[in-house]
This record gives sequence, structure tokens and C-alpha cells, in this order.
Amino acid sequence: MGFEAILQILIQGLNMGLIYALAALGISLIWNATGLFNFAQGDLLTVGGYVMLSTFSHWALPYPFAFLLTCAVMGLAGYLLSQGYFFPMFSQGLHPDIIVIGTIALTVLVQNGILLLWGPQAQRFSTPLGDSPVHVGQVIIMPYYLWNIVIVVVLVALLQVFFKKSILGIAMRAVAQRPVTASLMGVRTNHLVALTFLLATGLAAVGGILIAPVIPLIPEMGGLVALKAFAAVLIGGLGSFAGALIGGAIVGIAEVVFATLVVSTYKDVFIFAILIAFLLVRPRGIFSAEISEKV
Amino acid sequence: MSRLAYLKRIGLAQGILLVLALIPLIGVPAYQFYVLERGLQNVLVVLSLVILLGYTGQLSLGQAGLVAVGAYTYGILCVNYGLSPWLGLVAAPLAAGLVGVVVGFPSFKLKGPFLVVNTLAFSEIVRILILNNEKVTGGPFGLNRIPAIATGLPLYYFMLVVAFLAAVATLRLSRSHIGLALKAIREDEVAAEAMGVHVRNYKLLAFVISAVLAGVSGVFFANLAGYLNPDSFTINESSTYLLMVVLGGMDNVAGGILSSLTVTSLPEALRFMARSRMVVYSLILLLVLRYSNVLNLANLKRMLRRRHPPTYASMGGQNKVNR
Amino acid sequence: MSLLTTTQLTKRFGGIVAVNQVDLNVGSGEICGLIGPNGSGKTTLVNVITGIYKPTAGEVAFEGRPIHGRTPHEICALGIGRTFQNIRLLLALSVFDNVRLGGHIHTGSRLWDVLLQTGRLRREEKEVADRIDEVLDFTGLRQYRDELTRNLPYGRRKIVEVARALMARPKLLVLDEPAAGLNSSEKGNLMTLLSRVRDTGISILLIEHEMAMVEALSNRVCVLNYGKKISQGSFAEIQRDAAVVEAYLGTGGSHA
Repeated sequence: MGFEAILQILIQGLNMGLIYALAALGISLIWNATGLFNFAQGDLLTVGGYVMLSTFSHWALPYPFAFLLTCAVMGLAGYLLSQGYFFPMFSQGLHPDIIVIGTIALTVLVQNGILLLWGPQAQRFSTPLGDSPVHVGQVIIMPYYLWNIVIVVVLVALLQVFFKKSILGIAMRAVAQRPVTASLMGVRTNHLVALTFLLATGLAAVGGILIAPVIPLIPEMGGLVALKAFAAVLIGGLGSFAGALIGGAIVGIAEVVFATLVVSTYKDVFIFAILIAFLLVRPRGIFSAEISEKV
Repeated sequence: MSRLAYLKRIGLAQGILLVLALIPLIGVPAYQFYVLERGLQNVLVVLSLVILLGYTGQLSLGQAGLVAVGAYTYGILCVNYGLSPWLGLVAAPLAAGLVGVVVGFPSFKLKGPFLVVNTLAFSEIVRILILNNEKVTGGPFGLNRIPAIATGLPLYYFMLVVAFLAAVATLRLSRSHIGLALKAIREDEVAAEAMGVHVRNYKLLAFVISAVLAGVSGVFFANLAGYLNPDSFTINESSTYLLMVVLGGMDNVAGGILSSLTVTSLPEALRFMARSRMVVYSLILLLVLRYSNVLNLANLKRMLRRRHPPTYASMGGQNKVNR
Repeated sequence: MSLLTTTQLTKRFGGIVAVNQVDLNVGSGEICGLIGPNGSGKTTLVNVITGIYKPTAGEVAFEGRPIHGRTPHEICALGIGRTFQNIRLLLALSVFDNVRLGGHIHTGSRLWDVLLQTGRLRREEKEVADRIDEVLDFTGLRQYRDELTRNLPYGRRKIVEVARALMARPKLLVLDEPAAGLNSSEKGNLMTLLSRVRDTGISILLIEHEMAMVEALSNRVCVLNYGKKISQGSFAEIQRDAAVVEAYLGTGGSHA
């Protein structure tokens, strides 16, 4: 296979892969801080896209401003979600399964909320780079490929600085000595948890902003993205920063590979099969961060 | 539980289903009756989760996939191969059970989100396979003109009988040493294993039993709808089943039956709210979860039994087990 | 004849050697005390014996047959029962149900029997209920039969765990600090109970910090420190052993 074909696959794969990585990152952050697996991350990502649709497309605010506004709104939503819903459940000592089902109920709310506020029809908007493909030899480069890669790289760099240098970031990393049992969740101050949710929904917002140019937004998108995001975070390693990125990249690239080389309608089946294989053989993922239970 | 407590619970399930049996006699409009039937069909899936989640503590987001296996096996055998619906009724749960073995196999080493994602992945694989095999399943165009075991009132009473048998079977399971082993697995796997429970096999058993129940539910779905489409078996349906079993008190059979009927008819009951009803519906569910340690049907019974209003301290526990 | 024998049993967790080449013997009808400072590997050793961990090296033999590497439920079936250092009961269930779980290994009825409530099931359930009452009588818990376990005081819960372990008719009972957290009268009751257990022919491997209990009950004692066996013999013998004194009290000499 030619070098150009490989490059095509890589770039196209990273395009969606980095979005999956953002969702995976959000899941890992919340997992590290609270031991909760957020099943609503895919739907939060979708809402982010819709909010941007309103600010950028409908209200015609300039892109950078709309971008930041969307992230701020989503971050606030995450903060309120944590303070008003999830943290109270943690401190009440509700069974962890119930809280997880809470995130599942959240997906139902979000999907219906989107349907109510924005309607069922598919909608999209473009990146500032426009929609005309660029041809470099045999390789077709959609402008959003570049846009997504650049944005995510910048974001990851900012996050690395945040986690290594800022006091808040270091505190959040310290909190990554994640409790296995829910009973310890009460130890985490509600502020740290709320900020973690804020960061996670902020990342979801970015993911939504980046996905809309690629795949038009529909209310059910959350469910479609979700399982790929779960595959990304589990293959890469739940709780690991690098794992989220690598996992996302793997899923994104695998998607393109299966679509082009094998029957395209079954591409998801192969990805899920890989996920199941990982669960069977190495559930900790590539960059494992699990702590086992003391008997 | 003692024999008396067990008989009381059977009595409760009987009572609920007796009420349901009498409903057609007072006359119900056709669409509302359909909703009632769907609620009854969902009872089987909720019971499957009472066993899998309530008793054994295994959280599954994949029940919709198992219902799909039941529904489509029945549909395909009847439509494509001209088999008698009764044969389909027997074959479908068996097929679902087989899939249950496959899904449940990894469960011995998977916990928490890993287990949930595993069940979800299998469910989605089932749905995609159905979607992309148009020749066999009709793909996105669906499977049409599915013959029924019965229609109208006879179908309703047939489902009622099956639901009752399933409820009794679940209660018998709960009371037995097998049920105790499952509950031990839910509470403390290590201790359960040390006490001689073969955890791996029992988890598998729970998955298979719940798959068979879901499969029967799928057959009824096919009978009620007459036509199948993969869009009816997504993560949304799986999520709803989970919400039902939580509302019903997790391991409570009567609670599960009531919550299945309630939640299934909730969108219909909220119809007066027009477009915002689904949002209200999901808000209600979120609230129920948030306050689920207080607000579930099992606790409701306890509260109704008290003569004085419950205090915070007295909530959520009783001093003696039912004798 | 030795009932339980470990040979050079070793368990590593990463770089930490929790159990280091331990040779242990428990004979028929005797109580063997297992003592040592906190962190000396007693619980880990017992977890390896009962199959919760797989040994890194060495062997465990029960009634002459190797059992190392077997799963906990297989080991339970072979006749080893146990209690846990931090109580692992099903608190939401009654004492009756908790003890009933202990008898699981001897149930023969299948799912079929349960669903159809066959005669076989009914007979078995009656036998089990009778046996539970027997065990409850033996351990003095009969009056708490239908109490929710979460309503019981800590000391009583520990006895429930012993009762649960006895349900399986073990040949060897492994107890991990059964006296911890008990008041003096509860300790006395426990000592009497364990004596009577031994009198029925059941051997006991007893991890304990309560030295009076170890002295009164043990036929012999094995001492661990930092995962290694440093002494064994009768209680009087190990009490005099300098290595044991040092392990518990430190060298105590003057500083340089």
C-alpha cells in the first residue's frame, strides 16, 4: 500500500480519533477523582456541539468567542451537575451502581433535551478553515482534519502544563490515588470533584465543537460516539492521560482502516470486538493505572 | 426468607397480576391497552435484571440486545422459515440463552464499568449484525408481517400467565440456596467463593437465566408489534430497563412489575405536556435515582405500614426480618 | 499424620515478599496458633492456603494431597473453612441466611429443583434448616436466628462468621483474629467455643494477638516475622525463644 494511502488513513483516523481521545480524557478525569465512570460523556460532547451551533451558527458570534463561550457554558453545567447532583449522591453513600445508573439516566435527559431545544434534523457548522478539500498528491485533506489536530495538540499541551505546574492541577493528580470503594468518595472535597467535572465537560464541549464539522449533529449522536469513547478509554487504560490519547488514536485509525479495507458497514463490529478482546485479556488497557483490592 | 414471607410476596405478585387481568373488563381504549401490553412485555426484561443486577450485582447495559435476539430469532424462524409461532416461542429464548453464555463468559473477571461496557459492546454488535444482514433480518427496513401466537385479548392473558410464572420462578430462585449464592456474590465475591460458591459458574448462570427471560420478552415484543426494526433495540432501551429495575427497588419482584408498568406508561401519561414530556420523564427518572435510597417501591410499602410518620433514623431498615 | 502442611511456601507482591519460605504443620485434632507482629504475613499466608492468592513458590498439602493453586471454593469443598480478619458477612441478611451460605458447598439441588420446588429440594432445605439450628445451638446464637446481621454487635458478628464456617463441616478451620475487638466475657465464650470445636475433631489454625487465648488453646504455636517463620513449638517454648522476644519487643539495647 502506498505511502500516500497510509498517510490518508492516519490523518483521517486521527481526525475522529482525537475527538474520541477528548471524550476518553473526560471519562478518565472523573474516574480518577471519584471512581465514577461517566456514561454520559458522549452525550455531553454532543450538547457541546449544539451549544456551539447556537452561539456560532445561530447567533453568529465570532468563532473564537463562540468557542470559549461554549466551553464556559458547558464547564459551568458540569460544575452544577457535580455540586447539585453527583456529589450529593457520593456523600450520601449511595451504592456506586446507582450513581453509575445516574449517568445513564443523564444520557436520556440530554438526548431528549437536545431534541426539545434544537429539533431532530441534522445540523452542522464549519471550522474557520472552510470546507474545501486540499489535495496534496493523492492525499485528500479536509480542512477540519488539520483544525482538529491543531486544536487538540494545543489543548493537550495546555493540560500538561496545567497538571504539572499549577497547584490545582497537582492537587487533581494527587487525588488520582483513586479510591476503589465508594465509601472513600466522601473524603474528596466537593470543590475538587466539581472542578474535575467542570474540566471534563469543558473537554466534552471542545469535542463537540470539533465533531460537528465532521459529522452533522443529531440528538442521538451521544450514543453513537459513546461506545467508541469507551473503547478508547478502556483500550488506552482507564485513568491514564496518555492512555486516553493513544486509545482514541487507535480507535479512530482502526475505524478508517476497517472502513476502507473490510466491509465498511461492519467497521464498528471489529472495533467492539477489539474492545472485548482487550477486556478479556488486558482490561487495564495499554497504560494501566488500576489499583487492586486488598483482601 | 421464610415460607410465610415467600408466600406473601407471591401473593403480592398474584394480586398485581389479578388487577391487570381484570382491567380489560372495565374497558380500556385501544392505544392505552397497547401501552399496558408493552408494560407487561417489559416486566420480563425487568425480572431478568432483578436476577442479574438485583440479586447478583452484575450491571448490564445490554439487555436490549438479548431482547433483540429473542425477537429476531422468533421473527426470522416464523417469516423466513415458516415455522410455527409456538416453535419460535421455544427456540427464541434458547437462542438468547446461548448469546447470554457468550456475553456472560467474560463476567467472571470483569467488574464495574468494564463489565457494563462489555455488555454494551455485545448488544451493539447484535444490533449492527441485524442492521447489516438485510436478506435475513430486513436490515433497516425491518422484518414485517410476523405471525403471532395470539392477538388481542388472548395474547394479553397469555403474557399475563407467562409473567406470573416468571415472577414465581424469580421468587423461588430468590429464596433458594442458588439465590443466596447469587446475593453473596453481589455483596462479597471473595467471601462467597471462600464459602464454596463457584463464583464464575454462578455469574454465568445469572447471565443465562436473564438472557432467557429477555428472549421471551423479545418474542412478545414481536407478537405485539408484528414488525421488527433494529432501532427498537438500542442503548436507550437498555438504559430504560435499568431505570425500571432501580425504581422497583433493585431486587424486588413486585416492585419491578409495578415500575415496569409505570415507566412504560409514563411518556403516555405525560402526553398532555406535548413536546417537553420526554424531558420531564427523564427528569423524573433522575430524581428517582437521586433519592432512590428513600424513594423506591419497596420502601413505600414499609412507609405505608407504619402508623407514625417515619423519622430519618428509622428510614431504610427494619429491626426484624419478615417471618 | 499432618492434616495441613505447607512446604517452603512463598508469596511475593511485586518486590515485597509477604510470605517467605514458610514450613507449617497442622495436625489432626489440634489447635495450631499462628502469631507474629502486625504485618508479619499471617493473613497473607492464610490467604494463600485458602486459595485466595496463588503461591509464588512452595506447596500446600491437605490430607496429603496438594492444594496450592486451587480456587477458594475447591479448597472449601476439600474441607477447609475460614473466617476473615475484617468480618465479611452479608449484613443485609439475617443470621440464619448468613450461616446458611456456609452450607452451600453441600447443596445438591439444581436450578430445575428450585424452579419446580421438587421433593428433593424440600427435603434438602429441611435438612439444611435443621443443621443451621444445630450450628446455632452449638455456637450459642440460636436466639439471634432471625435478626438482621447488621443489627448485631461486633462481637456477636464474629461468632456468626465462625458458625458460618462450621456449616460446611470443615476438617480444618482457619480463624483470622477471631478475638479482635471482643470484650473479656466475649473472649471467654470464644475460648470455650473453640475448645469445643476442637473436641469435635476439627483442627484449628488460629491467628491471634490475644496471647492468653493462644496459650490456653494451642497445642503448639508457629511464629512469623517479616514473612519468615522464626520459631515454633509449644507456647512455653516459643515464649522463651529470644528471636520471638526480639520480634515483638525489638532489641531494646542502648543506642550507639
